[in-house]
Amino acid sequence: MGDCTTVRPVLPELALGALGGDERADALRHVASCGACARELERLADVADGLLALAAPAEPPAGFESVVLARMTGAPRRPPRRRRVLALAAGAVAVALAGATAGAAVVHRAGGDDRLLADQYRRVLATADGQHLRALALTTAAGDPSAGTVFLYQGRPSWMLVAIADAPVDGAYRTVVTYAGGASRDAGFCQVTDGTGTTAYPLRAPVAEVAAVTLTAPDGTTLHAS
Amino acid sequence: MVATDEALLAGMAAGDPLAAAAFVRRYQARVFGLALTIVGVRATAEDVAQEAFTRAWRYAPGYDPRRGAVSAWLLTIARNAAVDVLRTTRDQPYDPATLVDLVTARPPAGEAPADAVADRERLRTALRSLPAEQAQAVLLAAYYGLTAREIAERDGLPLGTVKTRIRLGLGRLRDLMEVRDG
Ligand SMILES: [Zn+2]
Repeated sequence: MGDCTTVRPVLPELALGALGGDERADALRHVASCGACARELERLADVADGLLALAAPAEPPAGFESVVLARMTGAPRRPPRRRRVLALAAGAVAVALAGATAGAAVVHRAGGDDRLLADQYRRVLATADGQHLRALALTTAAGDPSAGTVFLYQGRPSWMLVAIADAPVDGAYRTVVTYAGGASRDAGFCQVTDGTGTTAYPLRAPVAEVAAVTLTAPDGTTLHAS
Repeated sequence: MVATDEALLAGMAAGDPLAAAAFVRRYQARVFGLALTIVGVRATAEDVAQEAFTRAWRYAPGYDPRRGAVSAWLLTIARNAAVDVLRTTRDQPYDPATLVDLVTARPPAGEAPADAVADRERLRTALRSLPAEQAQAVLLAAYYGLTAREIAERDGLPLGTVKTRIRLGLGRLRDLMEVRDG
């Protein structure tokens, strides 16, 4: 999971979007719970963003605009839903939640999308300054803690983001949130393909009251965070 | 009256094709230019730029207006789309020294806002002041998405050496850029 002394040296690579999957997951998990590292990452990421802006603009070939517009508006996208419309009105973090949900719909189709999701986490983490976020490791029944991460954000609305990085089996995992008082609530399904998947869910209770999150695959395989 | 970037993106998030058209017109030269810098071939860069705008359309509802500019968000998407192509073709069109020259070259005067131009010029000056091996390592990571391990293998260097170059290089750029900000 890493601490400041192991994560600090890789923050520049994380900011540049050039950290491999395993190291990236560890670093993000630490940054989610460490305000000092989150602030350092934000400062480095500002410079990394600036570097891309240095590329010289160039006019694309004639007809580019009409081709790209046809492709964009013909691209599959989740139909507008009540939650997304609400999210647009409800502020930045809620928007990030809807985006993560939209991302989950396509993450299995395009290999580069997991980096974009990581970038979105990074931006959300920076926004939250690490102060209202909890990150819990998802552990397999065999005790391997690198199956993924559950991010819990305290806000309006509060939300949960499940990011599965390395699940033992694929399938639609039923997601259940258990609260400190013992009540549990169904949080829908997380589709896992090639071991990875992402889902987001709005929480109705304060983040501090979340005691555990459990995901169960159709064959009974479980992932657990607490 | 000109719509803000955020307004255009909100329009895209709501599925408005007119907002999408305005957004493409506003950013196509920046996105195509970045794609061309990374992949080096116009036809490939056109594919990458199309893919970038398509992803932006998909992800528009996920944009966080409190975090950074729309342009930085979009350029990150374009960079990731270009890196995906490089990873498929296993190609890097420019050697590291040429990449540094491309990125630090002063562009022709455009219609960009003066403060954005000034920031970019400061960053170019900061990049030029770095030891060449640090500037190259930082740009290989930023533009080609190469990990420290990949750069080390490519150049036959110890992993620790490359990690140090990236850390010192980006850290120095941050320090130089924050002198006047802070
Ligand atoms: Zn830390």
